[in-house]
Amino acid sequence: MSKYIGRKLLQFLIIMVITSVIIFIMVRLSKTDPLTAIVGGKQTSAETLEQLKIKFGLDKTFVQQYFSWIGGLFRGELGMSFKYQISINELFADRFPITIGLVLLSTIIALVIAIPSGVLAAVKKNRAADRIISIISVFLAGCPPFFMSLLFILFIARYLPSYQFTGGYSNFREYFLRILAPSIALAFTMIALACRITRASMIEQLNAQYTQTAVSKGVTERQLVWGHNFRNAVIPVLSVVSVQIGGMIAGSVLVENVFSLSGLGTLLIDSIKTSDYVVVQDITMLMVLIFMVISTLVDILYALIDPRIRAN
Amino acid sequence: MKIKKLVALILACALILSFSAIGSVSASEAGSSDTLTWVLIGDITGLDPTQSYDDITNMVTNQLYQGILTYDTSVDSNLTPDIAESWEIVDELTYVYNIKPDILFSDGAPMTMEDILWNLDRQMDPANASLVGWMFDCVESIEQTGDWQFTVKLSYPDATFQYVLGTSAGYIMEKAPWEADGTVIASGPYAMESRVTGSNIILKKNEYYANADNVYFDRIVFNVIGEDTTRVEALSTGQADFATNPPFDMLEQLKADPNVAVTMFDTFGVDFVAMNTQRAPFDDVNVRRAVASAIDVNTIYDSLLVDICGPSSGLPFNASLYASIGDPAEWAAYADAYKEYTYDVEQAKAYLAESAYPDGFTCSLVVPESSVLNSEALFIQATLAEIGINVEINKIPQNDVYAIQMGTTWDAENDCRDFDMGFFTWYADFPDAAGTLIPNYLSSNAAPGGCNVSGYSNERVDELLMDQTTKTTAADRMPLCMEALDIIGEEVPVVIIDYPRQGALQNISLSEVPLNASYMWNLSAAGMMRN
Repeated sequence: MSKYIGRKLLQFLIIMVITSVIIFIMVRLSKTDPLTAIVGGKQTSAETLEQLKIKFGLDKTFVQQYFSWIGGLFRGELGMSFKYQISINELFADRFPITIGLVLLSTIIALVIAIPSGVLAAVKKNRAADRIISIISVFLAGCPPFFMSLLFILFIARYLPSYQFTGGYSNFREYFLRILAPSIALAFTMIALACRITRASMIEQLNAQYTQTAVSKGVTERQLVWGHNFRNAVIPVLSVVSVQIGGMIAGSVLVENVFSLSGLGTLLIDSIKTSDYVVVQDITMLMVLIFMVISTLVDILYALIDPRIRAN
Repeated sequence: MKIKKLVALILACALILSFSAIGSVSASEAGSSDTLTWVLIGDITGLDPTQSYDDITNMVTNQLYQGILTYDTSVDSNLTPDIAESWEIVDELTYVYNIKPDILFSDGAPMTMEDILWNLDRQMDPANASLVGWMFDCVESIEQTGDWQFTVKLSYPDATFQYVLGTSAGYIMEKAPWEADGTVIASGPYAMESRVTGSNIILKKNEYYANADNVYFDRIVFNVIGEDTTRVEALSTGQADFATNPPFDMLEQLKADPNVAVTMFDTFGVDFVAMNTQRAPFDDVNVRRAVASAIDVNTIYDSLLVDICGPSSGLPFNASLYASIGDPAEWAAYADAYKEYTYDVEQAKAYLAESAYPDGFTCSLVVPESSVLNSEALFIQATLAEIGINVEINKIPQNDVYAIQMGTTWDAENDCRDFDMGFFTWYADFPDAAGTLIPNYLSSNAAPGGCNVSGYSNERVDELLMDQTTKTTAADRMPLCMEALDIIGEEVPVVIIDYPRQGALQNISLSEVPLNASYMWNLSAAGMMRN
């Protein structure tokens, strides 16, 4: 087992290094000159442009810039933003709570709605409840978060004008209220996905032989569904949801923008627009890291559960 | 069983908090009598005066800082003393500033001459890469010449230097806190309370501000709202009080909103189509004349720009800058008679026939990603097709347009900017026409880092433009500028499309805010109040 874990960790490291090189190169493929973005089309001088280059290390070779960035990451220094001219660690500290809150709350909302609905749809397969849930699920899957967010804003502005959809927060209650509506908008797609997977997985369990045995032994329907079938059915749902969480960070970009929330998503988009290289590199690496950590942990967990994986 | 209880608990908490959200009163203080909520369309770059050079950042820094000078809110944007008590142009190379001796920073510390000279040195020190450092290019020395006086000596005459200390280049902050840990302590009407990047900036009233009685709000909350719909709804519901940069495609909706007042005002800006005079085919003056004659500027204006721009007179600056370089009435008369290539397809064809490309050619037109500009580009594409010029529209991000304008993207083969034709905008930094003429038409500004986007070069124009900067009176500068404009008009490196206007949106609960073209330097919350 330790050999297997060692191999997985080595793979993890190699992929992270290769990805960091790819990200570093791709960010620099943008035609937008970061100095132009800093000056913003206003009058300047060649001397100022030169000094800005030195200030942000853009006068160094690509290789020097890469090792300077990677070295900083290992020391926990994320670098300096061209646009804000402050440490990216500070930017991340400001932005992280919003993105994490959005992703976690929308995941909770999605699971709380999707799992019972999926189970109900499976238990009531091909009956009215199943059909209604399926239709709603298809509708939710077709609702882009950006569009839903705009509808939410218009709805709130008209019918709940006292609900704060702009501005910051100063305590947990305000924080929760600020991320509640955007989390609901962000949760829609995951609700649809998790509901459909739960339904399919539950149907499989309901048709399994052990279910017939349990019924014949007189187990109540409630005990059977929640005590036996659901426990087996939930594993693939959680696998898919855990991978989706990484995607949600990217998906939160548009929701953050509409609700004027300052998360990592908006920071990423702003930084791409202004060729704020190091910020783009850091956020992209963070996303890759989250994907890789989840994926590696899942691989290790599978190996712990299933000896055949270890053997192979 | 434990899992079920946990799920039930989470559900219950979520429901309670959801209902409390719906029933709650706004968490922000927007609309309250002592807090002004001001919407920004993007985040600020920072609070350091050396980086305070855009119309988002300056909305915040204008509240924190006092400048040596400032601009009043009259149509002419007259220079007035702020930290200075008085100032004088002794001769074309010598400017003397007398400072008020009793100014206090927001921490109660007195402002000293050391603070003032240190701030000016910071702006001029290349190591700080100040975005307004170029404004000091003509400065030879700045020295203290009295207890509360300093003198600026120029190395060559530059009439526009008088305006420099009315911009962020003249902002003064306290030296010690900045040097200790980068804290900004200044003497403006408000002081920094907190900031969350990308989200909000909160300022509190500066009790030590000299004119504190004129400051009616105890706090300002700047909220960053990039999305147009959200910004408009925030103003409409009263979650925000004030904003600039209205979304033009929502202007009609905003004007119809009873909760929002829309004010449009002139800027020092000009929108134009530039032709790259440094490479074929636009190095041929007759091609440029043909293009200028084929573009129906009036129809473009009437169809697309009436609400958001002023109509073109053909001059590269609008009427708000006439007074800076002479008698406005004389300038108005000059503008009426100015050589303008009015729409005339037959004349355009005649010019093209005289050029090296009588059968026409294909070229590209660079357009920033904007719906209005895209419509203008399509219009120009259609009209130029009538004379045999095939235009390929190339939509690019605004930052890439800036790169062309500043010459940071370069055509190495032809040693010039890499474009044929393009839409560009220029805003003069000062209420002075030279702030448009010199950057856009002086040949030395065609080099990388300069903003002479068309690469225009004419020795006589260079001579006239440099000569007018040596004059300290507007009347002396007027004939020189007019002669330069005569030549530029004949050689037509650019086609002036319009003069962009700026807009302010305010919730009707707010009293009228005085606005003029110097808003980037003088838009202040001091004086703003609720009705």
